[in-house]
Amino acid sequence: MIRLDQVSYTYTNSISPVIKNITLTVEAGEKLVVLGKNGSGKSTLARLMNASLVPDAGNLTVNGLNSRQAENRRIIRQQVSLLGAMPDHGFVSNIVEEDIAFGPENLGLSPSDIRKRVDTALNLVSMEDYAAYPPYLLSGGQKQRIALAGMLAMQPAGMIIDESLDMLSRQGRTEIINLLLEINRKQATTLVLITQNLEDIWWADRVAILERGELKLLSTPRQLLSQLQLIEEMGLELLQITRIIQNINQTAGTAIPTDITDLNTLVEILCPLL
Amino acid sequence: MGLRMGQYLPLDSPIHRLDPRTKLLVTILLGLASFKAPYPWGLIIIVSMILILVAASRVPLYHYWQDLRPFVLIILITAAIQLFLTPGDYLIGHSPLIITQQGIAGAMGLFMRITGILLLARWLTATTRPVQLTNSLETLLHPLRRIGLPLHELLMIMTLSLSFIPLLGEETVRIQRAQTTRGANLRSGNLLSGTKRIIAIIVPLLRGAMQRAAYLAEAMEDRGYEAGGHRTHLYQQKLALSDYGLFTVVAAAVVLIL
Amino acid sequence: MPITLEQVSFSWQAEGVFKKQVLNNISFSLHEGEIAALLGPEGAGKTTLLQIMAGLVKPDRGTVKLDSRTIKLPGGYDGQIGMLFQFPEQQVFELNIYDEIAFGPKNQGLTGKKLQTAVYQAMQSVGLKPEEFLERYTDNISSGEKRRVAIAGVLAMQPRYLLLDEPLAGLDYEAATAVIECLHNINQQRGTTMLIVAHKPDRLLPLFNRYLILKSGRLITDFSSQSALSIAHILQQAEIELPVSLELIQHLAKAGGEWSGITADSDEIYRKIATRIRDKKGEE
Repeated sequence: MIRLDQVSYTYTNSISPVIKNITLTVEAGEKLVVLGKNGSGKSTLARLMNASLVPDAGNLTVNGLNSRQAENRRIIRQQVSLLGAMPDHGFVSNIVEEDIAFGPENLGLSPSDIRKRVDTALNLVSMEDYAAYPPYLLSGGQKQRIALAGMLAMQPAGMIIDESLDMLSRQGRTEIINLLLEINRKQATTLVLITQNLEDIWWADRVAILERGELKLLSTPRQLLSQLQLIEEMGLELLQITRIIQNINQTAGTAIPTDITDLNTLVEILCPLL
Repeated sequence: MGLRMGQYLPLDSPIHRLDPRTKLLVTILLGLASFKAPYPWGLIIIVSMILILVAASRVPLYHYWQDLRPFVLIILITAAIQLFLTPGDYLIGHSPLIITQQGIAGAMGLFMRITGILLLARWLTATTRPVQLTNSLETLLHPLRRIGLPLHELLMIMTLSLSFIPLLGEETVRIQRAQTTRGANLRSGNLLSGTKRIIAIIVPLLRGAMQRAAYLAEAMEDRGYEAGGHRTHLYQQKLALSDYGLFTVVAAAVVLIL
Repeated sequence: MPITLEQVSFSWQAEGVFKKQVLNNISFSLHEGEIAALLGPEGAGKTTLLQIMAGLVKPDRGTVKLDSRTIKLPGGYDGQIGMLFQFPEQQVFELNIYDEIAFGPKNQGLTGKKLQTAVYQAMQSVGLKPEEFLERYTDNISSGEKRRVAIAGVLAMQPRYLLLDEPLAGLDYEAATAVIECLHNINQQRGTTMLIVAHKPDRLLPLFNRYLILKSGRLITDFSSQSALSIAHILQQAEIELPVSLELIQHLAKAGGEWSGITADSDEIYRKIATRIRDKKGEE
């Protein structure tokens, strides 16, 4: 669906490129995670993918449409929605449900269809009680939920989520990720999640690691989680549980498998040793 | 974290259930009438009608007061000017502060007219969603399309500029907060430091406002907005008996009084 | 000298349709040198509480006192209370990074070489290399870098109190390590008092010596301890999800081990576990 061919990008008044020569294809219906530390270029990659930015070199196509052509950019941005980290910047109305309706209204749907989409989206993010609230009275996490609902109501073919779940608790994040997975399963929506948190990658088909604007590695979550050294080299944070296992192994000379992600399994292994 | 001026208030009242076009027309009619109605009786009838509508909206008076408050000073000053500077039949006071009969009438009239119009504006915005309001305006102004006016775009510009005013206010608050937490003293100081302080806010404010505008444009495009594109609406408009009823009563009263 | 809150209450709107109690009758004192965690679910009122303590928002009822002097609005405590906002976009306002970080120290009267040193030190303490970032624009950096610029801007003033809203959100491992270390150091060296909001407090646990838990605007827990097991218990009671290291120790304790002496520091937890494994091996 999204095809990057040797894409590079440099911001004006910056010397070094943020994105260097990336070639990558995101298949329709795929679940991709882009991992990278601060300043690795992952947000820029996200904005290139939905044609908010245009590559300096190389080509980016979405369903065959090249983002270089201005007339294509409009279509791309409707097909691939991008959700950023700062929800305040995206609200177009003073009323939650009007804000969510804005997208479907632009699609020219009938009032009853718009109503259905708005209600469904609010239900999905568990914010149905806030339909008539002004978004600016909500908390950071609640705003992120509303922004997500606005995106869901568009029913885009692809969704890029750029660290937009930051203000949610682990439980809240899991809830939202499960919701996105369900949408992916039912509607074959392409999902791209931009993060630096290894906790958020378990569900992905593939994980792409960015470092200083270069695509360093394409892997599956399982493969990646077993390459501890690589994760640390990339400046990423190991899962808490992995770090604990690694440290116990080093200090106590044990050989507990480092790919355990379930706490109960670890407890079962540890108890006889203690 | 105050409420933005003119925030829609989701309540269930007969007024909320009216068709937005009716409310818009009623507002225009009564607004005109508040300006034009003869003092005292014509104006009293019009203001009473406004008060009845305000009561029927079930909006707590607190909200009316909140949005009226910024205008209180202006209203009082203009009323005072009327009160003291209208020539006419002497009633009380010493030169130069002389109150005449005409002065009292003028001040009362002015007070009622301005307050009436402000109440009416808040009544409309509190009971009607902004999108519905724009849609109604579009319907009412529809004939203008024939002379080639890009009505839809003009109204979108109007809506956006209106929503940009609170944004500017919030941006100011944001920068003030960011600066106070880092030791900028917003209170004391002489003229020089005062000027410096204003510049320290205005420059980032302008930059921030431009950026917010750019973000807003981007957010709208991301959600498929296109100038001149075909849009549909979440809310359906339907005229009911109560709409015709209210409109007839108000229109009749206005015509009789003027 | 403490910051003291006495029966502080706050609503979004004092009256009217959206009237909603955000904070309800909150009283506590934050003592010199303490590092307290402020935890609670989304929309519990954590951010609002920090804003009230920073003098940015006026409570409907109750008072906030700094050194037994009532705080008046608007803010301006000569930089005694530093505040990090929930999103760096709410805080950063200058065009380039140097000016942004220098804003506070400048208000404190620093100039020339001293000002420069303050800015450089603050940048280094959050892991931003001055030579790389000094001249860059605040618009053209990543959100993680922006958060660090915001933190540096607060630290550069060397405030006596720090109110930090999500200081680690969006930071990568390295950056978070730098910030944690820096917070630890300034607390040790200058006795800086801190109140930290974090929805994922795992890595901050070793810093905390007190836990304040908000739920629906009420302070439901005010608890001072460093014991991993008691903190785990308290968090669980407040329905706050446990950091993995605490959950592990809780599981192990349930399985019958004696772990009560251990502190809520993941490094110490794994070290203790490893030591016990080694000891047992030695016995065998």
